[in-house]
Amino acid sequence: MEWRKYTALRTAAIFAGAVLLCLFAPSAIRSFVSSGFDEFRAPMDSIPSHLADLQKYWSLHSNSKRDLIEAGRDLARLNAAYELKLLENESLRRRLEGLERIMNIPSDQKFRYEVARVARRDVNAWWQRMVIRKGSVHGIREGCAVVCASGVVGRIASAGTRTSVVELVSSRRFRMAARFAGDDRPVIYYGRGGVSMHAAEGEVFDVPADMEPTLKKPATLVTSSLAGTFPDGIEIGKVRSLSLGADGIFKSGTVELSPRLDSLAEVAVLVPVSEDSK
Amino acid sequence: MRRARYSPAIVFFSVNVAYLHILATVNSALSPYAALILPCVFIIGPSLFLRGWQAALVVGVSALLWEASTPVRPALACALWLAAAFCVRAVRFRFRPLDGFSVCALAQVVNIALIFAYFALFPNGCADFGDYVLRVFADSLLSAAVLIFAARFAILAPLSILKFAGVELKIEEDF
Amino acid sequence: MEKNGQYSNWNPRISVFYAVFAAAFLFLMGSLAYRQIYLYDYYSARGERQSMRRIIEPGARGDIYDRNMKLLVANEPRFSAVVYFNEIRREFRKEYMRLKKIELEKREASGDDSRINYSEISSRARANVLNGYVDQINSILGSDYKLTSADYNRHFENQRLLPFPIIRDLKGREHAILAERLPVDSPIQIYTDTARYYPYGDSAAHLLGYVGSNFDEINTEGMPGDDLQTFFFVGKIGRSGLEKAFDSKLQGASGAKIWVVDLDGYQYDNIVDVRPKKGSDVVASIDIDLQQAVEDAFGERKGAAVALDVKTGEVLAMVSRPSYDPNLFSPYMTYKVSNEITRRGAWLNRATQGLYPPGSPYKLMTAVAGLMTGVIDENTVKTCEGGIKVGTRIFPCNKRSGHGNVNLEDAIAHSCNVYFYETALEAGIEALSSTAKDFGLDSRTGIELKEDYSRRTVVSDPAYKKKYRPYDGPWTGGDTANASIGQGYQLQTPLQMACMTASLARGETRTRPSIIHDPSRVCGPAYHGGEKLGMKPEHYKAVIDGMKAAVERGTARRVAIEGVSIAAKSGTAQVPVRGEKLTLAWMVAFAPVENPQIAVAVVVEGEEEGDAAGGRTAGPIARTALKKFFDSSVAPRVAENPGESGG
Repeated sequence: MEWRKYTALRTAAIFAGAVLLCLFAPSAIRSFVSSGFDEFRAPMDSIPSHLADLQKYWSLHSNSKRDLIEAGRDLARLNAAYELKLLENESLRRRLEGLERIMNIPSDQKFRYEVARVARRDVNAWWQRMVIRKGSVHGIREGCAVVCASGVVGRIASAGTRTSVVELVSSRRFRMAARFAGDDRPVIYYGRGGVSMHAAEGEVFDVPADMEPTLKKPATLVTSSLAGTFPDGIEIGKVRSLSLGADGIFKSGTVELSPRLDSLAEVAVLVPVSEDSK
Repeated sequence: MRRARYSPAIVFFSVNVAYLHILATVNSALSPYAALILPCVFIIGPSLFLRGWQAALVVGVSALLWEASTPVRPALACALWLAAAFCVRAVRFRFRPLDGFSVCALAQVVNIALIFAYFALFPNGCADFGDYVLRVFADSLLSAAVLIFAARFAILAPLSILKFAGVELKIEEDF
Repeated sequence: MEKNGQYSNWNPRISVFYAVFAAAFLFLMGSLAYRQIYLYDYYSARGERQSMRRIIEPGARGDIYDRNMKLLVANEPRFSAVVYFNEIRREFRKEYMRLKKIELEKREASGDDSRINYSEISSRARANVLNGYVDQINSILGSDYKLTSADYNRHFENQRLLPFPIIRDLKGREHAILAERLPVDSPIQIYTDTARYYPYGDSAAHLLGYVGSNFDEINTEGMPGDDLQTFFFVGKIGRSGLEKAFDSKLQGASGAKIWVVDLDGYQYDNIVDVRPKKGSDVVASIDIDLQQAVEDAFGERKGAAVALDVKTGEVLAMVSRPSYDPNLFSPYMTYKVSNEITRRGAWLNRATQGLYPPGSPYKLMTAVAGLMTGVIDENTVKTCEGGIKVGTRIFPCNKRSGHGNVNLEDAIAHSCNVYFYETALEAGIEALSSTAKDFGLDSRTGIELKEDYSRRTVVSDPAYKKKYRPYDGPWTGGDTANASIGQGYQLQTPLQMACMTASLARGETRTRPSIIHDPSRVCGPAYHGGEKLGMKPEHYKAVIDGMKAAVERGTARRVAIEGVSIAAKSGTAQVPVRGEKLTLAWMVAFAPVENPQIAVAVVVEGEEEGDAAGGRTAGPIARTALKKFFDSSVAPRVAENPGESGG
């Protein structure tokens, strides 16, 4: 049975070689292979997502005309309200630009909103990420802010050609400068990471000792534009209580994130206009 | 029944890709509360039925696809899956009967072992160590429960597909 | 040797060597057993101690509030980008190996046999790694920070366990950018420290004081790990003012961390963690609104002003101009800032340490001395013809044409010099100086702030002149005349004059000022350390009426506030400065007369001859203080905490 030993050795060599290659190949090669497979996998995420959209479309097809008419009417009403808001925003924006010119104040960073569908969510004990259906061809770059109607979603961790990976705001690897609504003093927000059977949360640190939110009157944590990644004032979450550190200077506390983060179907990536025009 | 040379590997790989999609969809729905961690379904089938290099290729590529867009060290999961695959290959003859209990037991052992490896090697993504243990424990419990019902079907599904295509696969020696 | 005809290898002398070796071996085994077994605990503990290090971190200082709990001094966060050498030691090692390899190859190529300087390679490796991190930060921030080799080598040699600051004192924007763009698990961490912050800038700077780095070792009594090698974070210590006076209360409790370190001295396990605690807060007696109002009234002028709560002696405002902004000393004082303050003469707290001839307000002491010795009473009239001759010299009145016949009330109201010259000459210098000393004008007030003087406060009398001015000759009538109007050798601080005014308002001799607000303070003559004036009521009334008349129709008219009865005394003292005679504008006042609550003393330094006069220059400042006090926002808060009246 020599051939048995030979084949066993051969198999062992194949596996051992593969394992050693995986572990000890230069990091550049490993990263290159990883990003290559990322692109290879991307259609596997976005095609099912497109199919899900298609399925939803056909399921809506089965709705009665009456349902569709009512839905259409509601949508029209909503659209009209949003259009008014857009007009209002546009006039406010022009006014702000004028004031900035008169007072010689440098403008805040401008952003372009790139709306993207969520292909999949990947949340477990080790990471908290989501994959969206837009990538570098749409101007998305690593580090771009990602928001939704209820507030901050996260930041682009890596941007493929047509898909991007978003590091969620609840991820332990997520950190950002923030402030409380109505207060200019900077604080630091950290994602808290995954907790089983529990909605996502974050933590806020370096809070001045005079902040005193309560259960009934929580303080709203919003983004700070200091770092230039996020525009100012986008909601991150709510803080209901803070505890003073032993040093007696700063407080810290838990941030309740929006429950809508768990069921997002669509997000907006904020692409800086200056980068975009390069 | 004829034995094809490469079609089993292609079928196993295609089934693995399908499982990737199914697991991603289920985990998207379950997040953020729980997650299914089922690396064994990608490993056991190829390791039992394919030739050495084919099994290594299918498991390796499946691993690279799974760990794409994850923040772990590139190819680390691939190394773990390949090691597990080698171990399964080494004991594959014990599972020749392919009865439900033994396949399920194998799946559970491989799955738990890999989850322990992830626990030890992957960076902690939870608030603190207690939360980390709790989360991994809960996810492993859920995964083990799912495996009780789905392990045999998931691992032997490619065999059924190949049988339908006229290819009979058994647990055999390498040649 | 031969024994019984047979040769034997055995030599009895060898047994000696056997015995010696056996003894030595037994001794060694015994020593080993002794050390390994008997002294096991001792060496084990010693080994542990060698492998442990302690880090002491001082606690944050307490806050300082004004009497209305407005924050005067606080701690604000200061952010630095730091690395722990422990976390980048692998990179040090890797770079060291690379540089060593290059060096060896270079030497091999050039045939250089000289000894390699490994410590220099080690130092370069550290520099390369740390500069790599600096470059990373610079690329993120778009900045141009640099590190010097002295910084990190010194830190590596002496403070390896402490975080090494790559970039100190990050601005808000830089902190935000690094927090977002640096990976969470990056070796570069944001370290949060605190620095003193003075939200009101240069307001009450001399009273509040400032802090500096404390390079002395922190008291570690009661902390774990006393026998371990210890590293200290640099703390802060009060250098002046309230920060210094109450340093022990403001200082926080230090924290201690004990780390297990490896052979190279890098920490790898934290086994004890006692967190530092913030110090206690202090509530100062000043009202910051009143303080700022008086400071604004001063404008660019030099001088000082003190406002006291008449009953409790608490300092409501303490102004010294020019001043400085203690925020410029955070995180540390630079030579440039220090020199600028020195150039402007702003270090001196003129309120407690500025020595000035008191001028005409001192006439109140002359009046009290005259009344108590009986040389004058409330009806005594003297004739002022514009001056009197004392000895060979004419001592003029401030009205050259003379005030005519004046009684005590008019003399105080119009500040007639002649009246007080004659009163002092009649009463005698001993009575005058004794009265002034009773009012504490030659001694420290007892306030918690520094009152050390480069010269001393002076209530002049013959003993003083004999001791300190022997070359000026014996005491003369002219000296008495000068003393009677607060000139000559007289030197007082604005705080002493404010205390004198408050004491007079209460009808007592002493006032004990305090910069700490204590609503439970029980005040009376015993608390203030004085006694009742012991004047006849009509005499006391005459003095007070004189001060009232000064406001109504005399030299202190500019202090008048409608609806408030104020008693005041103005003064214009002259002082020779660099050959020029400069004037000092004085105003002392208290109000309301029927139930005194606030006493004020203001002195303004003239910068040219004749540009400062008591009523014209100091009067409006005193009026501002009194008016602000009697605003509804200020007066009721003092009235709520009156203490026990002693007047």
